[in-house]
Amino acid sequence: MNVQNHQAERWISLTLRIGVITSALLLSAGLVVEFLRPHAASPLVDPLAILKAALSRQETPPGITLLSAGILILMFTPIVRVIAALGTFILEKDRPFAFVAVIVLTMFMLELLISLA
Amino acid sequence: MSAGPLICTMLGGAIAGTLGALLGLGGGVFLIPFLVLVLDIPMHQAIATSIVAVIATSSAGAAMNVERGTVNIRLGMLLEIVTVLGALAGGITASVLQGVVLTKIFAVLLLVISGAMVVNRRFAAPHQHDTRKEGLWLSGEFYDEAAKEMVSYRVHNLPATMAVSLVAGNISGLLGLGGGIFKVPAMHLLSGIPMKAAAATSNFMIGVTAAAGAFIYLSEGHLNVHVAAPAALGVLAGSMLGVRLSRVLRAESVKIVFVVVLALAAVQLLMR
Repeated sequence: MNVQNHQAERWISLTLRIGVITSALLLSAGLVVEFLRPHAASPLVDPLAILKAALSRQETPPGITLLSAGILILMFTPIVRVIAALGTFILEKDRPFAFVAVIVLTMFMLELLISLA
Repeated sequence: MSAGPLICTMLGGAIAGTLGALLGLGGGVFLIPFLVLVLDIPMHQAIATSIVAVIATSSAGAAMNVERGTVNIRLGMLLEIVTVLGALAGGITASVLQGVVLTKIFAVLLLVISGAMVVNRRFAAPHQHDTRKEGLWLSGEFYDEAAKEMVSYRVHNLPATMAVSLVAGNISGLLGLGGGIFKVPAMHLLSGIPMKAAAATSNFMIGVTAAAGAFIYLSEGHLNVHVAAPAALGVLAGSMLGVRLSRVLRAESVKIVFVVVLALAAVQLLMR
């Protein structure tokens, strides 16, 4: 295993760790806030819509917003990992696998567009 | 939000995560029957919850495995092309199927998984000393801590493993499972990848595959955050406990019990 490979593995691992820890903290905080709220609203939500509403300063329950953010960060963590892998493949001048990473990302974006539509 | 369901969901997630880690699975096969049969949660919501939990355990496990060098990153990325495609098709199919149909499909799959767990025990590891020249471009190596030696391998018969991965991705999108139960044997038996590298690479891929199917469930409004959040946290904690337990418990000896539990859950789901 060469130094470049080791570097790539470190970056990918770090990306995954940061994503999981951030998400776990947000989910825990969200659950505490929701637990303390006496009459919680319907928990059947689309996290994307909740976060969009929160960012556009519309009123959203803070607990649900924290839970939605935690779930979205968790769901985007593997995608950020693909971006990290793409970056390392480009640095390693590994064109075939940089292309593979681009295909995976493109398909994911396509899926996201289908969901949003 | 009351304490009872919160603790119950977290506990169920922790048990599913522990069992999953003990058997090298994501935990979805245990979590979904628990949510449907014990907590009476609709099938679509249970699947959406399982997808979130599967992403959590996969990401946490992959972070450790990548650092250890057991993941074949290039092979994983290549197989992700077909698993994402399968997950996309599975997610779209699930959005048009009724919950009762999904429950029956899931129950049948549980029976298949139970059978596969029994059959997998009989397979021997192929390609122990591989001298063939093919498969060099995806070759890998890692340090086996148990054997205290470097293990080198090449990847053979890639199209067959890709075909199985496509089906695994489809199952992931359709039923919220990681699909490792199909991918790991395929990588090991068809492509000659050592078991540890196959399991680590499968786990590495699961996050992206599950995320691909997840957004369809989310946009359909099937995600109950009061269930998904404690379940994900529970599964995450349980999988960490399971990894520690796996060092002292022999997975083979407890496998039979789990096969029976899965088969019973399948029968109960079929009868619903």
